[in-house]
Amino acid sequence: MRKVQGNDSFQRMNYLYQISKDMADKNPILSAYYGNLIIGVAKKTVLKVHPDIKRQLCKKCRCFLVHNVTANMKIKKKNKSKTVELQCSTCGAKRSFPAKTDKDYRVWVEKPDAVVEVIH
Amino acid sequence: MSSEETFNKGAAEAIVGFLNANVAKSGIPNIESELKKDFVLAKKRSKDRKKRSSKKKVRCLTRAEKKELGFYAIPRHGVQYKDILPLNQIWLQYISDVLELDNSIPDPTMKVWENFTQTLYKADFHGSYLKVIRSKCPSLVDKSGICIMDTKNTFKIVSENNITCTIPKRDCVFEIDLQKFKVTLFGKLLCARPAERSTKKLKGNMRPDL
Ligand SMILES: [Zn+2]
Repeated sequence: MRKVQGNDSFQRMNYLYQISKDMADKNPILSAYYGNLIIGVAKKTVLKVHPDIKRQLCKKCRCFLVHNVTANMKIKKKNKSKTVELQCSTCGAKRSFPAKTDKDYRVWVEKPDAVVEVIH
Repeated sequence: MSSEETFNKGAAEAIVGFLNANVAKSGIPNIESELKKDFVLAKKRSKDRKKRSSKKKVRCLTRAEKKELGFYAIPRHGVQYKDILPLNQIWLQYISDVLELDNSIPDPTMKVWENFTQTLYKADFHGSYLKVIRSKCPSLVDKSGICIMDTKNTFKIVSENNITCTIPKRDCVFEIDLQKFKVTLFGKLLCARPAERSTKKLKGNMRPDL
């Protein structure tokens, strides 16, 4: 059986992501601590955090962002294009994502032809 | 104005004279054309730089800001045991996935034992149910709870009666409940930051002195 390189670190990041999400509504400070650890493990082992995970963490305090729980979502108009803005309620930092319907904003990893092989 | 112009002229003549005297003979005919060169891009670059600097950067929290938000001090009664109970269930699933406990339970005599300890060392301990079975400090013995924080020298655990307490790793022996069996861990070997532990390698047989 083939194994993925750095599999145990990926599993660890996956687990930390789960508990960070779980703690988001109960204790945002602990959620931020686990989010911080995801980045720390990825930095130490030189692996990439999946963009989907990265987008759900606050950029400043690494707290997990859930609408109406740890963050406030707003839709804003910036020179004719709409953006979704998330404001973290722990530290107050803002993140915004473009939300045009006629444009493809996915990065390369998220496109279906980036998957070559699935190893279980 | 006029005095400045004459000064400039004088300086320019001096430079040309200096170059005429010092440049190699083959270079003398080129001096005139080299001096008249105009750097078109020199002015454009400065405009771009001004634009770039105006953009705001999102920086990480500084240590002082973190302290203000209460990242370091978790209050004694701040965490409820029932809130972190699901953490323990997720952890049991995770640890059996990482250690592949479904296939077989390793034995210290088997060859895979070293591999097993290595993966256990690299695994995460947040959410595990820890129990202190031996310690240099008698008041710490028999304390148990779910680990919520893991620092270089301490574990923070929450016990059933909602009390958060800090336990030093170095002088304690812990027991982890893995449902099928129990693992005894010497806290002395776990003294590393949680993020660093995933790259560090466990050094060979260290003798416990407790
Ligand atoms: Zn934040």
